[in-house]
Amino acid sequence: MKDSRKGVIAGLIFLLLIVLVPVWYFARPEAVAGPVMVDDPWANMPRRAEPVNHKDLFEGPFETGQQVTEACLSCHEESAEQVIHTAHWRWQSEPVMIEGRDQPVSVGKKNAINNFCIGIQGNWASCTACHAGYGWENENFDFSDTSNIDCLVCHDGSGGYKKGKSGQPLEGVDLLASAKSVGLPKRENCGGCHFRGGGGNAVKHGDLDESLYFPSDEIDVHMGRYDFQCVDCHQTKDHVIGGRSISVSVDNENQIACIDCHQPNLHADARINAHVETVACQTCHIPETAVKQATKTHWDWASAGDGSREEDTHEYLKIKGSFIYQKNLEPEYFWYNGLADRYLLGDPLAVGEETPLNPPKGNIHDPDARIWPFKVHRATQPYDARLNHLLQPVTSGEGGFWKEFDWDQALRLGSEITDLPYSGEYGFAKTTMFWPQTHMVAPKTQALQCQACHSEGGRMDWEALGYPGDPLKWGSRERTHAGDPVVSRAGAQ
Amino acid sequence: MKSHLPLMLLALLCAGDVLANDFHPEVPLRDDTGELLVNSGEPLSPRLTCGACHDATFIEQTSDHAAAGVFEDNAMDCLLCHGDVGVDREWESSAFRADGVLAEGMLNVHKPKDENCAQCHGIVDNSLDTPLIISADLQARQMTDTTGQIISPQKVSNSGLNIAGKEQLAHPFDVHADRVVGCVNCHYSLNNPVYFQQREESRPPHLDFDPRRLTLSDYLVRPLHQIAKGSSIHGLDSLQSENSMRRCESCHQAESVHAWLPYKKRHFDSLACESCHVPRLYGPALQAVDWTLVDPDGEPLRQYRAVEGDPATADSLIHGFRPVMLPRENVGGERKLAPFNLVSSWYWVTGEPARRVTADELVQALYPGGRLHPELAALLDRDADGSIGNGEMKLDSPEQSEAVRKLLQASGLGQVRMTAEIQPYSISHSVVNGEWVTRQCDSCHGADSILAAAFPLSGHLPGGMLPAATHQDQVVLSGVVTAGPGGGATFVADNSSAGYYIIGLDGHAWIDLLGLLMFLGVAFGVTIHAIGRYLANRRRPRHQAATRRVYMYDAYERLWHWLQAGVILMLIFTGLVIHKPHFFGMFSFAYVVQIHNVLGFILLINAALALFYTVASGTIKRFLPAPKGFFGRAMAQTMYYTRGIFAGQPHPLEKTREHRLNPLQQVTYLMILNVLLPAQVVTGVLIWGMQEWPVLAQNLGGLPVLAPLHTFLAWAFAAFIVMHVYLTTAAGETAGAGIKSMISGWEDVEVHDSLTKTDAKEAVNA
Repeated sequence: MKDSRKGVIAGLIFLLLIVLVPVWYFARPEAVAGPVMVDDPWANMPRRAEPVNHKDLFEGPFETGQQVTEACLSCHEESAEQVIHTAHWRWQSEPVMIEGRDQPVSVGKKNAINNFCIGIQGNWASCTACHAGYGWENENFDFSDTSNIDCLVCHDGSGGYKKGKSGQPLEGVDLLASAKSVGLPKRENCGGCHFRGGGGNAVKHGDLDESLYFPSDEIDVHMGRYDFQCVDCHQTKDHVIGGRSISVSVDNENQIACIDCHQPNLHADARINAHVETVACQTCHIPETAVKQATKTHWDWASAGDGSREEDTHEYLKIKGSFIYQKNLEPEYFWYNGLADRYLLGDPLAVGEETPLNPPKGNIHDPDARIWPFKVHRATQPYDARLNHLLQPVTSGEGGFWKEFDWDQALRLGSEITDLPYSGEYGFAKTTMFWPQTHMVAPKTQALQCQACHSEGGRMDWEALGYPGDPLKWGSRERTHAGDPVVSRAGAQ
Repeated sequence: MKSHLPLMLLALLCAGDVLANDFHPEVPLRDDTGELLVNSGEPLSPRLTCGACHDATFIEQTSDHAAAGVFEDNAMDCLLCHGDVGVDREWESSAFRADGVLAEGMLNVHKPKDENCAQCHGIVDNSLDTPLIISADLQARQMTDTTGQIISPQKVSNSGLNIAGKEQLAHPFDVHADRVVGCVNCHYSLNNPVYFQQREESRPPHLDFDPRRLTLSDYLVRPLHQIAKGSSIHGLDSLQSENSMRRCESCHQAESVHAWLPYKKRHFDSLACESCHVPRLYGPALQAVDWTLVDPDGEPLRQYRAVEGDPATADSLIHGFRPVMLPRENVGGERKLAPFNLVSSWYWVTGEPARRVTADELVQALYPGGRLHPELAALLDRDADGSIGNGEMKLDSPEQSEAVRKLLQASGLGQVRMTAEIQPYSISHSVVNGEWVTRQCDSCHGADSILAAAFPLSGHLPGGMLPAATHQDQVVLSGVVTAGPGGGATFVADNSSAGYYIIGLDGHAWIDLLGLLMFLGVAFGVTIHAIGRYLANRRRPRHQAATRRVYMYDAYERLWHWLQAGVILMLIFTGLVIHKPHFFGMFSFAYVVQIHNVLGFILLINAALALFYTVASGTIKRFLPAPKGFFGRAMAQTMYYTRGIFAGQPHPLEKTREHRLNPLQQVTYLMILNVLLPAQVVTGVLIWGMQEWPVLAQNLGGLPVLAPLHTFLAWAFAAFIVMHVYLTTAAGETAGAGIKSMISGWEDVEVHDSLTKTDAKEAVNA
């Protein structure tokens, strides 16, 4: 009887297998409904570490920021050594070889020139309010002195920590409360400096401003709809924060990309997928930036110093000159392979109309280049009319233009600090800066549609990009099969 | 020449946005006499101006638009289609150079742009940034008004229309407009060498492409002005270019992108692409036009489909509507279900042969002296408030209709009567793709099928008259028009009358009823029989016959039996889900169909192997009734089931390995294995094979024959199983003994005196 029961069970299992195996095989989702595209960006996003509550770890009282740092470092022993090698501390890159230059270049906020407030040299105290340290007020700041590291600017969780001149905590900041509140950097920590780049909210980036503290879905789908913090994408290892921008960087190491989380070919539509080799995700998914707050697109230093003009933060300031701000900025589009050239102090001005300070690299022939959206900031700024290079004035510093309104003096002081020759004859040169737009990603329903580029009067200047005309009709840049036309014009740069 | 400075400035402003066509040479503008416009100040003559280079006579003679009477006085207006829209064409003399050519930017000649077509053909709007709204200009809206089609790359959610649930509709109104396909990309000139391709039927079979093309210069001199078009009712005036357009399939390789779609070919064979790719329309589409009563301007009462209020008013709520699916004949004679809008109209006709009473005649008869005739007014003023309110301007009582009829007769028209018709308008624009397409199986397969959804025709019935379908070559209005409870009319498509059989939707109620009766009849019969046995058994216990154990069923037979039993049960269940999916909402139709198919093949393979086994082993003989004494044995068995079993008698026939089937079983199995099972397998395979070999099934009547047959045979199987399972309870000593023996193989059979030698030997062997 036992045996026969076993036989029955074996038979039953055999029968079930006969039926279930083919049913399972032919009724798999792929067999019935075709291949399934798996897109799970969350799977690629590391979880936020649960921060340790520091409420009971500090006794205080703290008189200075340095005392807080000392307390932090007493436990976080390796942090100091990590931080002093980061860009947030050094404001300068490791030496990098750049195509077209003989010497490796070490560039950063410390020594670069831009076409906003121009440069920090001679103006340290006011610029270094955003330095992750204390007391950088002249060229003699000691970058090896770890006691001046400012832990709180990034880790304060109280919202009450504010920095002033030379990066010192403002009068009245409750350092103990701030120390007790530390945790993972929040939007407020990053935004305090990065949303206010260029001296005020929304001035510099175009895609970063204070609307990102509490954004709607439409402003930024990651931060609005999915409640991302900056550090969710800007993953950090040993205090080195991922991501960089060609406004100060010349290399492309430690970069962040959409496809770190998203599948590149996830569009259901083959026609759209056919774009991903030539068009950056950002191009379609960031149809416009400065969505909520206008960003500065033009700055004319030449008109500064006129006390008779009415002042308006967004139009004219005597100390800075006149501006144009734009809201809902439609980006400009260029080939970009992640690298950029860099105008360095002393470089001659370009022969053309405008001198690009950080022109993105890449062209139609560069397989690594894609068409990217940029905010272009156009300015006129002082240069040496005889020596033909840009000059870096002292503005906020001692004897600077903002107090004396004397360009000659400001430029002379600047040239002494930067060791840049100044002939005494100055003028104003047109310059451009390029800001790749990568934040303020819109919900997918708002992504650019075909007509935005492929229609009469569309966004793309195809000929400037190196095409004979709209690639929709003229063909793409790559010849993928024999018989396809090759349309990119040889030599187009 | 009049001064049009403001307009000209506007034109210049607009022109700034539009790229000029630098390719077209500068042309001196001439009037009718050939004189330069700049000198004469007379109107432009396209014939003499454009005709200087293009063959005006050829163009005029071939023009569909000219044939359709688009141009007044037969004077072609080239710039209507080839000039910029919205540009005033009365120029100051200062606009001209001395040689009669307009100053730069004043005249931009180009191939027709979408805006040009949009002047007459419906809502076409290529703007992405300006929210789309509905124009109040009925003339320009025509194609939209008949179909609801809006052609625009703009996402519905970004439009200016007040559409219910709009924020979810993040798809362009028309995917082709989105993909920068313009009107003339499909509706091209029929000798445009860029687009023209001879139809398969009109070129030798060995030639795919004829490279000897018209040169561009030849084409530009004599561009054929027949425009490639489909076969919609809109183009009745240009029948010579009927069906000249390429269809969706000419550009699209549907096969490669429908990997997810089960029964691809079957669906492609039955459905036009538009059926799924135009799921819903949001433009104002007429539902009914009531010409039986007109307003003082001669305008009829227009009802719009799924719009609350006047569509051109921004706050009218638009619901959008799903078009009705009707069989449409495409080029080449293939017939597929395609989306339509139905516009019903009511109007008066007069005389014999009947002609339509015009709006002017109606105004004259109904509004003597410019005011509504008092008698009629009194009849229409239902609430007697002294004025005809919004809802009162219609004829819904016989007296009202009669009054209008009399007024028309009195105005001198004879034999006035009302008529009502339904005009189907084919829909091919407003195409969507991807996730917006109808792609759920239950959209069609089930009781809620969109293929049988009620399609409103009108909110009221003027004169109580139901509209009738007008005859058209391309479309069959297969369905039923019914008067609704609210006084309106509704159309319900019934495509089974057009030869379609939609699984899950169609089916013959009588077959299901018959099947159910058979099933219930058997169930009832065996229940009565069982009760009888139970009662009889209580009164007089069954006699205990001597039994012996026989190894009745070997392992393979049991395996085969249970596999068959299990698979058939699952087939019946899955088949029921497929037949009536709306009762089984938790199951996915596509998966159940796939499982049903797999089970069907398992059944087929099992049956084939069993056949091989029984033939090879010779045991097939057991199924064959021995003719000698068959009738007697059959009678004995019948008597046993009808009488003996109640009397507690033993089985009349001894059951042995060789003679395990009694004569009734033999007959039943012969029927099942030779008729029922093969028929069910064959119909099943044919239905499954509609995908691969549709012709084979089609020759046997197609789904309308095969599917109901398959359904009926399934009922027969279900009934058999009830009977079969019941009779196992009569096989052994106890009710479960029969089933047990099919599991273990051993059966206790009654020992009969008439033991044959063979059986004895077998028993010993066992």
